[in-house]
Amino acid sequence: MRDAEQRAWAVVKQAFEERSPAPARKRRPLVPALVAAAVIAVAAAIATPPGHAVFQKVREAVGVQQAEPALFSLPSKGRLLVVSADHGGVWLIYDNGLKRRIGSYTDAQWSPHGLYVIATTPNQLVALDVENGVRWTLPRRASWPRWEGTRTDTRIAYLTPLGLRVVAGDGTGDHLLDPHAQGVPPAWDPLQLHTVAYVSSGAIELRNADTGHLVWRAPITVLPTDLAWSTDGRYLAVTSAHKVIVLTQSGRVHRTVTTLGDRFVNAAFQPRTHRLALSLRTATGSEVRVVDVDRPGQARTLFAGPGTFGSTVWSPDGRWLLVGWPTADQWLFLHGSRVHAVGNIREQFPRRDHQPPVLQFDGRWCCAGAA
Amino acid sequence: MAERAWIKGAQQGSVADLERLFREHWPRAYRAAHLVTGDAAAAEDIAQEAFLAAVRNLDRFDRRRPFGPWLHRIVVNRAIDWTRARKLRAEVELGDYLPAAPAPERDGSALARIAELPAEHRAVVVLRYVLEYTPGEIAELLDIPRGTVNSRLRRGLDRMKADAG
Repeated sequence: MRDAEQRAWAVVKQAFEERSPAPARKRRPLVPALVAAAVIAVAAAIATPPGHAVFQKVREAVGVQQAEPALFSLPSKGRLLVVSADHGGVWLIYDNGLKRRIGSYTDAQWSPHGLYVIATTPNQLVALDVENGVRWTLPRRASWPRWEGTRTDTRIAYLTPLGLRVVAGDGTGDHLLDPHAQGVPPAWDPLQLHTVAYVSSGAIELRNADTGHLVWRAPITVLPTDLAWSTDGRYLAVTSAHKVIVLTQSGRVHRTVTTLGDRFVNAAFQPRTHRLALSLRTATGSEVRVVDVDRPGQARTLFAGPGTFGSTVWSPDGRWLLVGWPTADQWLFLHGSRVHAVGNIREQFPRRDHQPPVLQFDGRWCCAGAA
Repeated sequence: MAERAWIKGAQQGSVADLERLFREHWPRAYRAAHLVTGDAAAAEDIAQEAFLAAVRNLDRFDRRRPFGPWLHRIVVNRAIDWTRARKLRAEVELGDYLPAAPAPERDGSALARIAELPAEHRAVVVLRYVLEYTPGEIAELLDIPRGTVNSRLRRGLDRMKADAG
């Protein structure tokens, strides 16, 4: 039990330190810290047989020194929204590298065809045309807005302290869908219009947002942190710290992915496939693995490195996986064995208080054809 | 009073205060999860997840409320869910394999007899006699009527007596 307590404390402490705004303490120079971390990671990697396999990747990770000094362009078509947490605002990046801060929002997500953005402030839900400004606002303490629908009929799901609510894309028809919904971003079913999956009272529920009809309810034994559908709607990945549970479109467990002691940070389906990119925090650093949920037992490590990885997002064409690497102040664009690194991320997303930004872009690289 | 100070400290970013809170509450949280699930690995997972939920919600936590019941509510509900779903879930490991969890010991002790109870009865018995909550508090924790708590307690104890022969 003492071992369990120590293990649990290590995980809880890490989570706590990562969630807290950095307390006032002297910042050590990045380079020595990185080198030290790298030495530890490499030593650990070569000491174990499985580690030997990732050693090459670790060496490459430490060696991403030919990183581009700035994000000159995105490697695929589309536009990327970047949320700088803790009042850092929202940035929009075009594929030609143009970048602009679109406002002091706390969150932002694309409309289904990339024509609009739904954003939040502490007390408002805000629908934006990114070129022409605000379309409408709704005074709600909203978080995690998610937008879906056809070109003429859309819905936005969002969470408030009093439950999950849904509003039409033109700002009308706002209503409470489930007062028991928990603080995990909802996820719209790609197959069934206006049907949303969310976490409620220890289960995943799929419910029609207009009629309130419960399509299915799947009890779960983990505390989810995120939900992600495959683009064909066949699978829903439920991410938690130590398990990723993959449900079928009817709510049955298709597969449970677990690890020995590592911690899942996020999971994202590659567009138009059933391959799931998993970002993990390991004992020695971080890894990105890809697992095909239709082919159990085969996981491929795409990249490993010391420190922590942040957000991950697939490009709209599914060719590139963008991984934030705050420890190295880099973004990594991964395509098979190719690694394209961009450095100096902090200075490209400056904050007014000069604190290092915490950048989130999961699910926010959108719509090659809509720009 | 110390607990309030620890929560306040943790809300202000103190790792030391969070650790005090963790060390204070871990043993009972883990023990409750273990007694309900009968599985050490699941108990560790469940107790750990409950603390992670606490960390995630720390900023919103009302310091006037006691921390223990809030934590135990998560632990026991998760443990019941886990126990119910245990037989329904087939797990596939990602490259590595966990050893099978040892079966709960059947040594005839009161604690071992708790493991023979249905999950809902087990949870109520653990909350009442291990964590020492009143039936009213248990009803609130599990969101069930007080009469249901009493009947589950009675049936649970009867069954334990019968098992003891």
